[in-house]
Amino acid sequence: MTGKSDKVDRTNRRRPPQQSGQKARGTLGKDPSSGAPLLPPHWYLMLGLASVLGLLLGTAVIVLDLISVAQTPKISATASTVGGQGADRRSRGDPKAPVVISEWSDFQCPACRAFALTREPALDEQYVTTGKVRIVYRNYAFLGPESFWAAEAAEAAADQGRYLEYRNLLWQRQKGENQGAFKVENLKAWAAELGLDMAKFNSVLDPEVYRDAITAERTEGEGLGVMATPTLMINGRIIEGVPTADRLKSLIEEELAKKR
Amino acid sequence: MRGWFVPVLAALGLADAGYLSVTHLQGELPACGGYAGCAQVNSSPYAEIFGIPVAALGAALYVSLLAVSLWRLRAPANHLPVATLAIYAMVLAGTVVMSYLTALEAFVLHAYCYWCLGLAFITLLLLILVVNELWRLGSATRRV
Repeated sequence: MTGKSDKVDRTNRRRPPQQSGQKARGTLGKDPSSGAPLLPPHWYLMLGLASVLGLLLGTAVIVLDLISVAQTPKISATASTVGGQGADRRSRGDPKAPVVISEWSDFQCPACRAFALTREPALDEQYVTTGKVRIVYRNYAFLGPESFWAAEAAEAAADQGRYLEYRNLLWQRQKGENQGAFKVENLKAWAAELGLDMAKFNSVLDPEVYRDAITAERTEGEGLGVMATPTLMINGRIIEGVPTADRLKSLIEEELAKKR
Repeated sequence: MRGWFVPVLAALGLADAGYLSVTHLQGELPACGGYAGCAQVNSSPYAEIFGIPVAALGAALYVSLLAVSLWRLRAPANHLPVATLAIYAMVLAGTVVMSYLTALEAFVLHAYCYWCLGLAFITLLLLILVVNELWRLGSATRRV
């Protein structure tokens, strides 16, 4: 064998010719041996375009999300129009409704907020406004000082017949746990935002007029079997956590059927 | 074997985003092992874009990613660069959105959803993988 043929053999071993019909698969970046350029022409231009496309697509989603959030209607503040007076000032719906749901919650509890945002609108539409259900809001403040301050501020708003509006604001502005969202300064600013009589509001909030009552309400809840929030008592039947929409509906329908 | 990493991660991402989408559309809250962060994040107004769950957009992205990455496994070598570029563009868009969502969790909502963090991690892994593949494609060409 000549030296020349040795050289050819070595070349062939390093770069075996590709047979027609033979396909290279799954060999990313490892197929320079085919002799054909692996990348298409204008590769770097295409890479740049792909980067721009990806960034634009992602940014578009973010912009749409922010626009959507800006246009999201705030939780209805008109619910207070169905609110009660006196002992029922923290309730909604017909006082003679056949089903009474006591909703035990803490204003710092995210699941309580989730219940308010995801379950209550449908509950209102199907049952509260139709006179079948009355909801009574109960305090179970246990997550720390801001839970108490928020509950006390809500009571101060209730003194002015604005409990439900204030409650809705608290859910909207819940942020973290004892991180300052419900500091007294904010609670007062939101009361002013709702147009409450601030002298009256402050005279209730500053000396913590409702502190003992809120503590006592929690003790009452514990006595009734509340161990976590949210806890619903549907005509006395205890449901812990956020029930699915279907389960909530069936629980209410069961109670309505009993009354028929 | 390396080619399977992307479809496997895409399938995991699809399962994650799909679960979040289904629970959202059913009006449920995702299971979170007793932690309330998932409820807070998924019931926030940022979780929907004009009524469409953000998770559903993620699921759509991961379906596309899975389809392209599976096709790429069987594609002829001359189609690999373009398929990889398409995957890269999708993963880059996903990374931008997941960065935004994670920042919202950290700085606006002050609550974390494990499912969302999982998806962010998968997306980041995919980005690292795909950028690495693009790098190797470029390097291979320079050697030719």
